Amino acid sequence: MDASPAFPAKIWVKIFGNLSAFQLTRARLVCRQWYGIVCGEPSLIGKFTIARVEDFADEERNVNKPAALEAMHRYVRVRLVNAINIPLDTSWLALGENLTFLSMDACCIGTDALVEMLRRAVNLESLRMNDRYCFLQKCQTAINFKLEKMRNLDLRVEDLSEALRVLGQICSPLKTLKIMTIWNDESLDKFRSYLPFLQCVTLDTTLPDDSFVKLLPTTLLHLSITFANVRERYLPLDLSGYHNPNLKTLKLSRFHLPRESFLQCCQHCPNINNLSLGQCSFEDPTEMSTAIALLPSLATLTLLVMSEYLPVECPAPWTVTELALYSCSVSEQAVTQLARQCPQLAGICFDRCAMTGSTVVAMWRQFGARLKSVTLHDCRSLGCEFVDCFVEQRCQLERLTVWNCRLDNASKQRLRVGLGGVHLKLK
Amino acid sequence: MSTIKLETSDGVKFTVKTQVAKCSGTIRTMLEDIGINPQDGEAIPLSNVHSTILQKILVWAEHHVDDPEPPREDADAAKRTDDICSWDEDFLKVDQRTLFDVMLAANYLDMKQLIAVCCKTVANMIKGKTADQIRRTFNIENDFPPGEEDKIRLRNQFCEERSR
Repeated sequence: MDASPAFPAKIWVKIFGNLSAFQLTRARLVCRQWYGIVCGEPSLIGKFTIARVEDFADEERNVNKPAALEAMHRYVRVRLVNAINIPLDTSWLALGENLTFLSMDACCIGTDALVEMLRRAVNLESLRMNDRYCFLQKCQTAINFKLEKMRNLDLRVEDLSEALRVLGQICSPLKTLKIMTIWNDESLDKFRSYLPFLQCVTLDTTLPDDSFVKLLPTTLLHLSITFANVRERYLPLDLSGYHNPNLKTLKLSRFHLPRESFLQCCQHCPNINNLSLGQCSFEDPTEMSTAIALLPSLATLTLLVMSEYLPVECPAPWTVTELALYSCSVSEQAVTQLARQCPQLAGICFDRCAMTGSTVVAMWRQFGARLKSVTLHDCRSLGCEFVDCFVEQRCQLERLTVWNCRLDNASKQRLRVGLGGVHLKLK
Repeated sequence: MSTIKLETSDGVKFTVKTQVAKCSGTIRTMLEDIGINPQDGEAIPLSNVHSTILQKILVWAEHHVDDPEPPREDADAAKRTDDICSWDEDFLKVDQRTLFDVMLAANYLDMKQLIAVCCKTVANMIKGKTADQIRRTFNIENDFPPGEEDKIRLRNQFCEERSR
């Protein structure tokens, strides 16, 4: 039966629209017509990301790679790893108008080539370059192109304020900026003037002081700051001056928070609904629990290595519904206190937490009736006794994940049988 | 209840409820925009559709005549193909020739819902199969010049699933 050629390409496009990239790689091997349809239709080829392209120029080692990349101009998403010496005259420049996503790891590409390529990639929406070298330096002198559709940018830069100036000229509508910087200028108000549409900032910084805080835009919805100098433990961070009623997500890593700093931040940013604190220290050990109680819409709370600041007595309850604790040592007493502190809790996650089986049993007795989701990851000292208490008293549990907790097969089986209807992930 | 007449490529005339016939965008346009008056008793010619296929399509249209308008689909959204209703599944349990003829006719008649469900059915026939198995399923000849298929296979190694 010779059905395929009689079908208009339009119908095949509709059929293939139901397939994933993996299935499409097989479909395009079927015949020339199908190959042409899959590669010629942006909505189909757009599902592909070409990846792990290593070393373009090394033809000695793998002669076939240029052939593999022959049709590169068709791709809209490209991820390059260890691509070294990409010469200007290769298909690199052909990554042109179609490109919407480009990610580069450990690549060594001349700035000339990069700028040339970016100049053509007018539809680029997302760019990630996790390398120390910097295309911005080249751009400073040769900015005569715009990437108007760019929304997400992930860069390492040396001079942040200079970078902002350049970015402001190339892609002023930017919404999401993730930047790793070695500071040398304090004129961060450029955020506002150069990138007025920024909503989400992730800043990894080794800056020696926290004067940048008052210069952060108050229009941000998401803010994540990490002190990335690994030689020093904490950087004092005074957040008391940051007023942002728009802020929804706040993540702080490796800072020391002086007295009242975090408390005032919570007062000035009352709409935070997602808070994450990692390896932070507080001058006043009770401040964290008091401050969190000031956030009326807080739903998700993540704490990483923060056990010493877990609430001991609660002045006011937290509104948290999802709580995740990473690398915190949690005692029975702490769990009891958390239960009192979070009356609306529906989901809890313990990851790499030093806790015993009896703590989990205590947790289940305290929270069990309201929990819909429980996750236990890499809690090695857990034992298997807690399984019985979950099976006997399943309450309204909908999801249970137990990963890398040395659960024996009999216990896994017991959970599978005893908790029918619960979404289980066991490993 | 008003009816209209349809005439297929092999000259068979069908009398159909207007409402059912309007499942077809093509017929709807003919009636509403071009102003063919069904009361004239003249049959609308469907020169691309055979009577056996039209009969089948009318069964489908009759069953789905009261379906609500489908929500506008986001072209980029991940599509499910396991949500075909069981009636449609049974309806499309036919030989491939018929399935493809139904699709072609649905395309000609501009019946979006029917096309969508047919496309899902064919996509399910492709899913989980190797290129060779797909060729056998649809009786397609491998017309790549020698070596070309290996080149594509190599290119495929560089492709990965779009992460969301």
